[in-house]
Amino acid sequence: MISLSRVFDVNNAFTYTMMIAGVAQAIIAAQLLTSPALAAGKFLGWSTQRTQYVNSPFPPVRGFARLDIGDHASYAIAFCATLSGIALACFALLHIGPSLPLAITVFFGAALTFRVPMGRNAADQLLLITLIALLLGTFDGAAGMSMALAFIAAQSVLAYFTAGITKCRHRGWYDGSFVRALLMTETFGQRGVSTVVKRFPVIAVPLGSALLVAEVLFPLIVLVPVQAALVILCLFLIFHLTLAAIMGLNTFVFAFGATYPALLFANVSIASYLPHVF
Amino acid sequence: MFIALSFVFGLWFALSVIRQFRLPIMDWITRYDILGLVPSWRLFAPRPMRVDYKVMRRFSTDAGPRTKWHDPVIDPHTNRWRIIWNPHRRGRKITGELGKLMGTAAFADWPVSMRLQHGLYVALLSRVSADAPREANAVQFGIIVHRKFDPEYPSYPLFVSPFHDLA
Repeated sequence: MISLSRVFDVNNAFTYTMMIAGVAQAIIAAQLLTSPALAAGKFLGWSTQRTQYVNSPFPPVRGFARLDIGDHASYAIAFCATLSGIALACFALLHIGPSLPLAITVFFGAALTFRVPMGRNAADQLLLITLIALLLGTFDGAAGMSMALAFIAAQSVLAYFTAGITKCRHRGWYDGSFVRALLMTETFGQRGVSTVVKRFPVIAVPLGSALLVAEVLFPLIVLVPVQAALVILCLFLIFHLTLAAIMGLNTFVFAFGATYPALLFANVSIASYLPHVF
Repeated sequence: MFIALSFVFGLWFALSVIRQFRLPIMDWITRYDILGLVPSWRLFAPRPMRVDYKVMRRFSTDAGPRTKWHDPVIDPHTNRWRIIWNPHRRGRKITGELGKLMGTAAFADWPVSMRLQHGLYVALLSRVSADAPREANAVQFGIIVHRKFDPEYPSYPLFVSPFHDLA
């Protein structure tokens, strides 16, 4: 039988994280690349996006915002970011040294983030954090990689836990009214789903409460037995896939999914330090 | 190198934890954090977006009459493949953020010159100005709040801009 602690040792966990993060980067960048809104004069065009930097405290950023980045440069950045993501996933798959592909991916990921600052969501932010942490982790061999994975796992735990705790303050998550309302919007819902929720409003109650409980208890993922952690993360992955299908949050699947190998690595590491607990 | 990395990751995570609280120092950090590396992890909390924001626009023309209000179709929603492919999500997110901004009491009191310095406002103005008919000389836009799949939810106008000259 394969030992899960070996499957999620530092090298493997680092490789899996890199692979999934590469796919996430490729999808996020390719979506921007193919978005009609990226063209000049459109919603995501540079002439509108650069207004975000008008009051930047960094003089070089303000200076850069005055430059004209034409359509060609914008599409080139998105294209290179897509390619670098694909290359990162391939290099990880082939176990080729990660430093250079990671550095290139981080560069184009950051450039794309700078080019399109508006409309970022948690998936975009978590992905860039993950990529930079992975790059930093390559500076000091296995110890650096372990630190990077621990940091990524900690960010993931912080993200879910903060979201859960913040939801606790509002009754609408317990009584299902927030879930019902959310699923009846065009932005995050679908006609079929909203019809079901309208006909059986009571199903929104366990959905809202279960989400809240799962997020608040998420930090336990690093303390439970690794088999249980694996099952829980599979359930979270299904949860993200469901949200992707219903709400269109497809990038969350990969951006948060990239942190799961790091979480399993953290789980295995903690268990090895505290063998008497379990 | 080990100590340097420990310091970097330790400081980064400490800032991330502090960022989750509404402290005055966070405004300062957010201002400098142009890449969003110290995010506020809310994920639909505390209250999710429970309405849709529909953008409408109309033009005034050289000939005099104004065009009818119409939907410029900023972000098509129907995409059955959005589980894996969703290129319109950024536009939708911006529309949502703009709706939230315009729903605040403070925004209503902003003079036009101040609104024109806000990135989201400029983004929307730029978008509704695109594809303007040749005879148009100014554009006006409005945001309507509604809940698409809930006919019982009353829709209402949230914001109507003045006419902005087209360049």
